[in-house]
Amino acid sequence: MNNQKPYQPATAVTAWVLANLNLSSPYGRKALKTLRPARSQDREHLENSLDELTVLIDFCRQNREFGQKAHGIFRQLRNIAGSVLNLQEELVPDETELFEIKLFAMQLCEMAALVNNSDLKLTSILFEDLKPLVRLLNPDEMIVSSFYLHESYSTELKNIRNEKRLLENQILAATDPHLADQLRHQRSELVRCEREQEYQIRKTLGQQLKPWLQHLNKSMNMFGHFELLLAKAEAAVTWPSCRPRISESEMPLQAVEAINPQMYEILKVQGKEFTPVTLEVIRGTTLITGANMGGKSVALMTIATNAELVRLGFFAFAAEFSMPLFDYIYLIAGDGQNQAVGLSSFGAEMMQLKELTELTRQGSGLAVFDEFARSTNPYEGRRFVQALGEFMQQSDLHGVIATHYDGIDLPRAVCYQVVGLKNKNIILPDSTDSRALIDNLCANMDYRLRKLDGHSEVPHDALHIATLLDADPRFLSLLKKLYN
Amino acid sequence: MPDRLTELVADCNCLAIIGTEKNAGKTTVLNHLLATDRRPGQAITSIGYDGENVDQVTGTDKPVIYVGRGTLVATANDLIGQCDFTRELVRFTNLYTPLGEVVILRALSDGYAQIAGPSTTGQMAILTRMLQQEKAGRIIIDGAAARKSTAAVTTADGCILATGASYSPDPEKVVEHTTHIAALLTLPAAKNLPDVIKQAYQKVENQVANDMGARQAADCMLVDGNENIIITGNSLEDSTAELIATHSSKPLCVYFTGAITARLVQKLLERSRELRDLKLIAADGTRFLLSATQLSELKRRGVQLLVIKPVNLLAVTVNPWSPEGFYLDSNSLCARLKTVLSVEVFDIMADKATSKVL
Repeated sequence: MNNQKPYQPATAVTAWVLANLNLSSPYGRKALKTLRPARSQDREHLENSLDELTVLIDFCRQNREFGQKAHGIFRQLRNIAGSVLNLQEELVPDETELFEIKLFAMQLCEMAALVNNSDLKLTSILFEDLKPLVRLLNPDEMIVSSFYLHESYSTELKNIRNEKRLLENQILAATDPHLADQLRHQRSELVRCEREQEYQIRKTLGQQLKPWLQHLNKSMNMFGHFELLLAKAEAAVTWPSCRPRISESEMPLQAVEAINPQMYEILKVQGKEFTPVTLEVIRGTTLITGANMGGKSVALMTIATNAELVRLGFFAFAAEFSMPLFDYIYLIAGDGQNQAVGLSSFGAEMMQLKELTELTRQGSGLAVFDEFARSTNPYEGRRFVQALGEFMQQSDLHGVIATHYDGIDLPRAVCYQVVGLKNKNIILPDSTDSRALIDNLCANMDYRLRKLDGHSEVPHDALHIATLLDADPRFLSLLKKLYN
Repeated sequence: MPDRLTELVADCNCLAIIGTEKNAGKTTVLNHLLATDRRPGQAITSIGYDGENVDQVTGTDKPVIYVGRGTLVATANDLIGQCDFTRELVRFTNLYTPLGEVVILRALSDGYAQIAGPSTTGQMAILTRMLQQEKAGRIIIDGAAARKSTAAVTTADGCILATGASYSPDPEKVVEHTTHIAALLTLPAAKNLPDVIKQAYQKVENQVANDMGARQAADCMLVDGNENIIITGNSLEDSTAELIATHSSKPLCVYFTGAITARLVQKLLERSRELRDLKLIAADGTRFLLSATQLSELKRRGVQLLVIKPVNLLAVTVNPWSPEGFYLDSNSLCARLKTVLSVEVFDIMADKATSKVL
């Protein structure tokens, strides 16, 4: 069961979010490994887990220290799956195995107490009562976090140990090396008896543990489920987020002020702010046009990531977010070129398109195309995009294409355009350092998307952007001649 | 009754026992200390695997470690079954050795211990911290040969060097070798260390807490008289010796984050005559992997060998028996060592207290 491959996220940002979840226990990491996106028929299940997540998020917002305490327990957890498996196979447990099972049972009791003593009420989080198991492995009155094969398990063991102790005292006091040797010999015989007794006790404990194995298995899964849920809640608290609304399959995906958490963090470090994306992706085709460096790719990635995370049971990172429960999300970003298998980026796109058409037979989906057919000639490229738009209108896809190609004519499509440069007469910064040039450009770019009433329009800003990036003057003058 | 050696190391919170060679009697010293000072809550561990019944290198009998009840023993999971004291499992450490995870045990009776502890400095630092959290009164680290004992001396605040007949049947050679190892261990601390070196040292020391394995390409740093870094290099490359030789006409400090190897020093000696303005600096004495000839030649040419954290060498112990079965005259060997070493010298085999536990 551990050989199951983890889910391969469709977008790099989803992968980033998953990789940055606060999961410290082996069980939480396993839960992530077995996490699978919901499909259209799982709607009820997804709604239920979103209910749970909503409760936990509200609770976490009000009880900041709860998460820290829970993580304190998660961090200590060891993977006892091997020990449990050995017990299932009726192997006699050794001391370390008994020790780690005892620790696990104590940690579960601790977590159960933490949750039960709080106001947190979640229907999916239910801890087994492992106190009797702790007592089995800790026959003393006082519960301690260490383990030893206690004398109270057997009178014979107690007698042997007492006798051994007396001998050890004699060895210590012996001045005659001969006598000491003799005593040591006697001691080694007692050690043999002690081991035999201990073996019997371990064997008995192994048998007594058998009925507990199913509880231990359940508890391991419970720890994993809870840690992953808590990690999702913490992600929702870290970034602006909302509970996604799941709509019927013909409805559009509607994102209001959606963010891309990875980009959000990168910009935060630089002291900048992410411009949230507001966009509606209808069933059929949605087109996005806009200036180079206008954030089209980021907008697409933001939408695709949020849709994917919703399917994985996360809150959407947006002010409002609704979408049908897609069966798949497919991203074609034109960067799939793989020279090792002889594929150019154009070739890769065509192969991916074939894969996508296979998927369309399996249900409804969200397909995202960043500059489709960008690397072929514009004469043909435009036709490829036109055909793709028509193709998506005919299929039951929610498709969104970012493109540079002019003259795409799709009557039923929704068209957006990046607002673009705020001011067409920007002055170059004093410094020609590339960072300063990019910063200057970013500061003057309005990344918001504007919904167009009619057809898509492609702004001709490339020359402008090149100027702002301080392209070589000789090159620019040659270029400008061609524009005239 | 505590003897002089036991008294000498009594105040040490973390003691490392290292040897000039294998079979130099480290374990005998450890047993001696455990028998003469049965303070409660003492902790023992080792660098890697030692304490085996039969020495894995030479095939000779080795004394096993006999611990008193109450002793904390940090050893690898696979060896727990071979420890014969009644025990309590106190803590898992998450530190792994080829023999499994290191587990902290408490001996509830006296008995024989098989010990395999961590082998890197970073892991040893973590382990000693855990032992202190478990209220260890004093920690004794059973080390290895000196040059492999970086992890022990870095962590410890005191150190015993065990030497003996296992090195050579010629007592003069034993004396010479022991003096050399002791000289390296007790190299003096560098005064007025340039800030850039301090920073580099801190960085490396903090790094080892996580991972010692990843060696950086540049592991030595040339610093001029104005405390500016001239260049960094890789000590495994011969060109680095060239660099040092080129810059050594003016005051120069060279700091090594890892070891200073015999090869590098050889190349350096071949390429230069006068080295009066050169200081070679490393974290501690175990990092200088030089022969006695090289050491004296470096000194003759005026090189200063300095460390950042000096080793507190408390005593030298002598094992007159060699694994091949011959015996050196302990009295004269000890007497010879006393004349050349600045620390006290003991023959613990001659001490009656030891015979009880062997």
